[in-house]
Amino acid sequence: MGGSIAVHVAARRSLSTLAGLLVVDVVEGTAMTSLIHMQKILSSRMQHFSSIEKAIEWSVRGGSLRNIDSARVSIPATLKYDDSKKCYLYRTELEKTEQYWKGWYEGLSDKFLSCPVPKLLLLAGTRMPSWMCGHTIGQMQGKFQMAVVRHTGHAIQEDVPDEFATLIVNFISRNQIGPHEIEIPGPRKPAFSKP
Amino acid sequence: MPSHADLDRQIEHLMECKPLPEADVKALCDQARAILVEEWNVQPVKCPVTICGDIHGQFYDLIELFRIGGNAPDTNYLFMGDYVDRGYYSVETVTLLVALKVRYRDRITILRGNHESRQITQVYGFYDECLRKYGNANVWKFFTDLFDYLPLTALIESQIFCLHGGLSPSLDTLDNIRALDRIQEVPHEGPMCDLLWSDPDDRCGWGISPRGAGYTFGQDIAAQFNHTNGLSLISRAHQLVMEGFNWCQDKNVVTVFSAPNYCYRCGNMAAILEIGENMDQNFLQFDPAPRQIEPDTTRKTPDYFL
Repeated sequence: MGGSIAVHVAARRSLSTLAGLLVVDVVEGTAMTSLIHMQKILSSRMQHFSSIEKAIEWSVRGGSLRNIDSARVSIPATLKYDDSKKCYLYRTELEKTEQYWKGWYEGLSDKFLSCPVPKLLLLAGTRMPSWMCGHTIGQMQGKFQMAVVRHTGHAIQEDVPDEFATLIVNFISRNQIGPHEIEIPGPRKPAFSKP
Repeated sequence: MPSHADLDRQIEHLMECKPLPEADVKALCDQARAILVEEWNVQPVKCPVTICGDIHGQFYDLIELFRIGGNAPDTNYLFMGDYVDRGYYSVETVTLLVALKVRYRDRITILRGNHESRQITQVYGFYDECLRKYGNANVWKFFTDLFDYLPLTALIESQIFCLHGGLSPSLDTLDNIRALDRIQEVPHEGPMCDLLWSDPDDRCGWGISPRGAGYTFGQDIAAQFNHTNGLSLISRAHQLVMEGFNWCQDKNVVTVFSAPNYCYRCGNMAAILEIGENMDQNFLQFDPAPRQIEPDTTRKTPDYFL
């Protein structure tokens, strides 16, 4: 959903400071065809956890994350403690948002392509065939950059954070985003010494 | 050294969309390398010749292209790269084109596209297809090693400059291109990368390519390049165009795209460009070949999440 929010905000062109758009593994076509499976996926998640550590463990062992270090950072914020049931539950009841799912993704491709800033779409390479999931026409017309990241699940930024960071830095550098005037300081000049 | 008869048998076999045995592919690539190593970075081509754009493993659409344009060697062909990736039949497609090159070396010219690369083919399908069809990556290695030898550009009767992508700010003249060392993996940046990745643009001058490699170039750049080198036209591929061809930059540049209904879903026409005896130009458009039964690709419940 985050990718959808980013695209909708960018497409409104109301952020004058917007310099680029990076979307992580969100494509209209794949999203729409996945929605019919979503309730099943949600219901198949483990629902109760005796501790936060158990939830973290499950997210990597049985869930969709692959990086335990990242899960330790991201999972706690998704949980809340239920005093009556004496266990941890998901903070957000995603099942109840079903009526909005379609609206998040319908027309996303056109909105993405209409954004005037440099665009980077990251796709997880484990989906087969991943390169079929993109905005095919737009990519082959050269309208945005696409990178397929192998050996990762949907949460690319969690599973392979170093590679993810490299892709962002290269994107920023190539598209000359950011202040140009800042000079990286070199070694301090030796103090002037009187003869 | 396989004879013409052997090659003819292999071509006949390939025309039925059947892969060659691994050993035959290796022998074929060895022969092709010996031919391609003698070709120039700016390979001279005589007219008449038919110019083709991206194929992307759409084998049956390549057969349709030959049906429209005529079979080799009766028709001379110039292919501007991107034979593999995305389509279901990259193996059969590139093997057929290489076999035709070996069999009729002076009547078919095959250039390098940005997808004729080790890095790109590992992501966009050719590598996986080789694994699936041969059980190992040897054939992928035979072809990707061969790709390094493909010419980067071609020049028809010293007038029409042909290449996969577009121009480079590092290259003002054809002699600059002739001076490149092309026998290597496609670099991430630099003049060789630019020739395979750049796109023409409505804006003047050089621009940062949205693709993440190469540059965009304006009409002023193309017109200057054509004037400097005595050219009448730059013919290139690389971009999907819905009619199969697209003139731009006041007819300094034309895009030719030869994969109809690209990725089996884009709904575009394809085209080839016939250059006649007197350098006359004629576009032939075509639709996808009649629907083939699509091979099984692994469908599984997505781990896609909201």
